[in-house]
Amino acid sequence: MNIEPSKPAPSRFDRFMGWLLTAVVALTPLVIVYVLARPNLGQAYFLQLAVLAATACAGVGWLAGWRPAPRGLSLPAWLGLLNVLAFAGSLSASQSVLFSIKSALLPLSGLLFLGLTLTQPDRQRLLARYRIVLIGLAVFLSIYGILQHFGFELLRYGSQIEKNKVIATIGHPNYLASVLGPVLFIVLSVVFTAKGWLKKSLGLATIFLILLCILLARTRGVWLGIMMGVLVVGVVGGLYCVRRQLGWRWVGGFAGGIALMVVTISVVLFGVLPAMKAGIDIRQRLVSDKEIKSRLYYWRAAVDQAAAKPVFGNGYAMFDPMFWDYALAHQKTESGPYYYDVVPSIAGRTPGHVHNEYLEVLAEQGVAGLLALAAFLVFFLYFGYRAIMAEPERARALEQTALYGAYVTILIDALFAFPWRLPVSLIVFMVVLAWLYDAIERAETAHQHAA
Amino acid sequence: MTEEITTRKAAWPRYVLGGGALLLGLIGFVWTMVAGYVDVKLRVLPTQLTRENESQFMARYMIELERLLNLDPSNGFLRSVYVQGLARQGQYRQAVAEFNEARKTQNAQNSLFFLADMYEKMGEIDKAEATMAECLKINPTDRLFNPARLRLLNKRVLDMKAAKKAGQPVDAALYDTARREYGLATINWFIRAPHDKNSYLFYGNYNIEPLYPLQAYRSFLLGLSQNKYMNLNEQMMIQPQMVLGTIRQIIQGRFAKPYLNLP
Repeated sequence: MNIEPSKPAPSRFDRFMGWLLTAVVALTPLVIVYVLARPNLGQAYFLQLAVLAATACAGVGWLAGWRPAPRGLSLPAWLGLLNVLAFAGSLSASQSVLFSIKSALLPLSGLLFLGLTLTQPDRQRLLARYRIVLIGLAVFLSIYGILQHFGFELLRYGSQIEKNKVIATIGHPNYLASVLGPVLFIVLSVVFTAKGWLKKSLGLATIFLILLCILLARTRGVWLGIMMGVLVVGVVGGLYCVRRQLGWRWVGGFAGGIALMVVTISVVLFGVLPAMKAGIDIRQRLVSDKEIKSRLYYWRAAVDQAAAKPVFGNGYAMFDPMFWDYALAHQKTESGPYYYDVVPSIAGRTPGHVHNEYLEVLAEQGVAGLLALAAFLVFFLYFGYRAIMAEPERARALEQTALYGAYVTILIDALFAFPWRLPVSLIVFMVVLAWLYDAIERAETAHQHAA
Repeated sequence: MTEEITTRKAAWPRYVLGGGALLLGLIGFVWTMVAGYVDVKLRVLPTQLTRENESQFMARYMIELERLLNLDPSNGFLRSVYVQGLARQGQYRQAVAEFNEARKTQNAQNSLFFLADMYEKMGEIDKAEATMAECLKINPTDRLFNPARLRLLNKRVLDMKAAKKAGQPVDAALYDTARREYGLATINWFIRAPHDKNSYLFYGNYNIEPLYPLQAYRSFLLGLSQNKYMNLNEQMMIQPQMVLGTIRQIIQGRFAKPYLNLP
């Protein structure tokens, strides 16, 4: 694996780029374009414009020699390029090539943002700045979401949005949960590494706020992600403590941390929410069979679409336009009547997305796209774990463990939502990947020096 | 000399990377700006044009939509709005062609209803009915689409009856098939939508000749009675005698339009 050596001191241009990228993270969630149907549309345009402008600036910087060009591509960069190639292959099957490319500008902007972050000489300072910004945003979004539950509204949203109350500036409860879920673990990383009980208490209070907001948003998908993230943090952290022979006090600390998380969630769910008369019927939300069946129908549609064009798929962003033609053809088959009751429940709208990132990549970019994506994700999953185990500094290892938990949360959330096709959750994902890459690179550099 | 070659060799990745990033950034930025401009403009456009004269407004609106389409041809939502404008202006064939283009990127559940409507307006009733039947496969309980299909089926039967009356040759088997299809569809909707007054009217029309005149009478009575005579607003009151008079006309062979308040 080709890992780059450490970067030289940042120039004035590099500092400018650093603040530009920070502004992207800070401002994207706050952009609201009223005339567009949902906030995420305006936020997507803003993210794309800002990142592409930053890319052009970086290009000028490299051409003018204001910043050194990276020497060679790292393995994740090659894997990223592999994903771009798979996307290019999918264009051959697209009903509208222009539309596919236009739709791909958002995830491309995410990858460019990741690349620009990783090529910053003062990367670690930039990542620390991202963390502060994301935590600040999470506090704001959570408080705003909680106030929205009580009917307080800052912004004049249109009627299409107002029916979903707890949305903050993100525009939909599920989208908001996809943002707050991983940031919860970013806050946890601060709790692990903070010195002094005041910072730790503030961190725990922020976690409580985020959990309360997610619960009031009445979402389901992100909960499995959070549970798995907590489990992974506990197991990986515990394994680290055992491997480093930190003692049972530390192992017990992790077990206690998981228990504290579960107790906090239970207290909020069964104590705080009823006391607030939040009106949330957990059983009804969990077994909402029509919603679950409609999701299964979207998944089935994605699998069937992928079966029609398995190698390169049907073209990026083509699942949605092709869905109702698929539904019509499917209703004429033998299995169609089984989903007869689903069709009226999803009436009047298009699905937008599969509500499962992996199946959507399979449907739109085929097996080639899914394998490329899997390779990219598994790289961070495997080497991220190795980097944690190889980290000699205990505080840093705990920090990385928490961020590893954020990564797992995102991967699980992607099973039920589409966080990589929404601007704010895409940025959070890229920040988490950047953190993981930084840890992996440090571990590899230390390993090479030791060798 | 060797140092110069080495320096040039070391510099080329910087130029490739820098040039590529600059090009990608500029193209992507401009494309996003254009797409965003089109999206926002499309939504504010109706409020920006004055509406004193409807046909002038439509003409200016369509010119603006065409300009926006030239900027962003892959915008299916924009093209759908353009298609609706073409339909309003009566350019049905062009509307269908543009509509099939729009469906490649924006395909709503009720798309086929619009297509069926266009075929009907172009006089292609068989195509309209077949498209509406497809539409109902993914909109099985829709209260607009079901009566719309029944209206098309009924129109086909009535057209054949009118042709027979005018002495034109009508294939008996085709006529029977059309009546049977209409009968099945109307009974199906009559059973599924007992609260839809139109279902009674369609069913009444089916029973009127030559089968069950009493059944037809009863269906028309149920379908036409809106309890308007119970209404306190005098201008909206319809007396029961007027309802019976209309039913008498229907039975005597002057068929009622078997639908109320449909588009």
